[in-house]
Amino acid sequence: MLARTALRTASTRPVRLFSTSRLVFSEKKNDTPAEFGVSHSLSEATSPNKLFGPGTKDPKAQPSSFEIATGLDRLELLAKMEGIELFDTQPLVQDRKGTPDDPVLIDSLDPIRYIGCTGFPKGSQEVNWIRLERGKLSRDWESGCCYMLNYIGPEGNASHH
Amino acid sequence: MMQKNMKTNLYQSNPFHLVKPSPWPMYLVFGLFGFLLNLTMMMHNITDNYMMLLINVITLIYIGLLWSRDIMGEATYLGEHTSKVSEGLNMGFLLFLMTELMWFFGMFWAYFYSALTPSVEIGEIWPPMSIMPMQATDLPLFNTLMLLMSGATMTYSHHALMARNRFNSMFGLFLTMLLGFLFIICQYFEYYYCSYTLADSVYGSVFFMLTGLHGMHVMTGTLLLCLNFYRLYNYQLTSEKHTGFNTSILLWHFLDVAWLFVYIVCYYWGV
Amino acid sequence: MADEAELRAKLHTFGNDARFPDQNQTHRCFQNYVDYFRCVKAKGEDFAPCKEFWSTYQSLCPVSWVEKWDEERSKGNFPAFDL
Repeated sequence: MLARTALRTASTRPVRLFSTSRLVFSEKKNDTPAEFGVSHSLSEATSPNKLFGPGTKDPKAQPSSFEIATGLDRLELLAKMEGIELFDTQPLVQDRKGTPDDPVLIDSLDPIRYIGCTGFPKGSQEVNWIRLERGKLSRDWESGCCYMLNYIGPEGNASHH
Repeated sequence: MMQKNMKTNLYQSNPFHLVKPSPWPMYLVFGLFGFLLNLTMMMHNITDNYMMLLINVITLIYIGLLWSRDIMGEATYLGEHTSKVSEGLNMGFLLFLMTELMWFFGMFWAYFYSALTPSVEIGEIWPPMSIMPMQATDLPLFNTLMLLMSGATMTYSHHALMARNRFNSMFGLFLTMLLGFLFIICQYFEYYYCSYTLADSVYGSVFFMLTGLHGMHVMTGTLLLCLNFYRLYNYQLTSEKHTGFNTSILLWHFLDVAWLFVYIVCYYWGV
Repeated sequence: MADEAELRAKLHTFGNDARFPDQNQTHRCFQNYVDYFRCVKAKGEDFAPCKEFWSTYQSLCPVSWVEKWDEERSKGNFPAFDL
């Protein structure tokens, strides 16, 4: 009983010939999602899918970075064109000694951040590496400076990578 | 500041490239191991299977190309090479060139150790008894001129790239590749018609170590130039950012200078 | 007494040679060996000053080296130009 119904289903299913594969693969599929696009400035770069370059117009010239840079590279380039330094590579400013009641707040986009403490005033000791965690108060064992993480990253699923 | 944070929030807050797991280092290691085993066995007369060596070398080149393909994809098509990453790559390559410099330093030390006070076994003279060194003003001088010219064409290509001049840049790079290839051909010619071999006393050893390994580096350098030509042709190198091209140029100029030292020491002074 | 003086005149070890000031006297040994045979070739075996070189290398050089070099000379393999 079951076998007969199975056979019937198989015979009514349409069969695709091998010869049609060529046609299927040669079809030009425009499956680029609508949200992909080109960004000419930082304001246009609203999502990772928008970080593409306009492409080189002149086939006889070697392209410039603006024309073909993509991804994080493009984001950095667009920011630099507007004078914004995208990645914060400056050392942290320490203008006071943190106390347990009034710790130095360190901004972070991640729930964990490592900092190096050279004491107060700056450079009075060798670097001590401290692991700051969200919600915890950390203290440098040599100079006594207190630090606390100021989480400014995305809420919710923070550890998405 | 907030706007910047919101932007970097969406992507990655650090400018560095955290590489995804890749099989190429492991494959390269296995390939190198096989290559070294093969070479060692050949040098100790355990095997004379040139086909195995050829397969090994082809595999190594293939793995290198596949790895380079991945890096090219990450750089050009994924945009993961920010300026910090480029700086890191440049710095890393300079460190590698420092290790190569150390290697040449060691080799020159070995040469001068053997040549300044020659031992009694070779007759206390340099070149040793019965070694007839080739004439410096013959083919080696031509080789020197070719390398110097290739340095000039390389710089020409680089400046043409920075000026967005596509045809001139490709032409300069092609000339450099051609000169590098001719250098290798001439060296092969010299080695073929040389009256002494690697096994002929310490002179043969130090001479062929210096010139031979320099030649191997020129071969690798020419391969890198071919890779750069492919990238240039496919519009992957831009007028502002071309880290791979920069590193290849560094290697080429380094080899040029090293050859000048090798030429003066081995061909002029050592006669 | 006279015998002692005579002996001292005949038997003497070869002292300092300023051309070879180092502790490693290989070069001196080789040089004297080569010089002896060049001297013999130029002046003949009976030329007395050649004996200086002979005495020096005989006392200075290790016997195994001298034997090896003699063998090389007989086969024509010795690494010196005119020997």
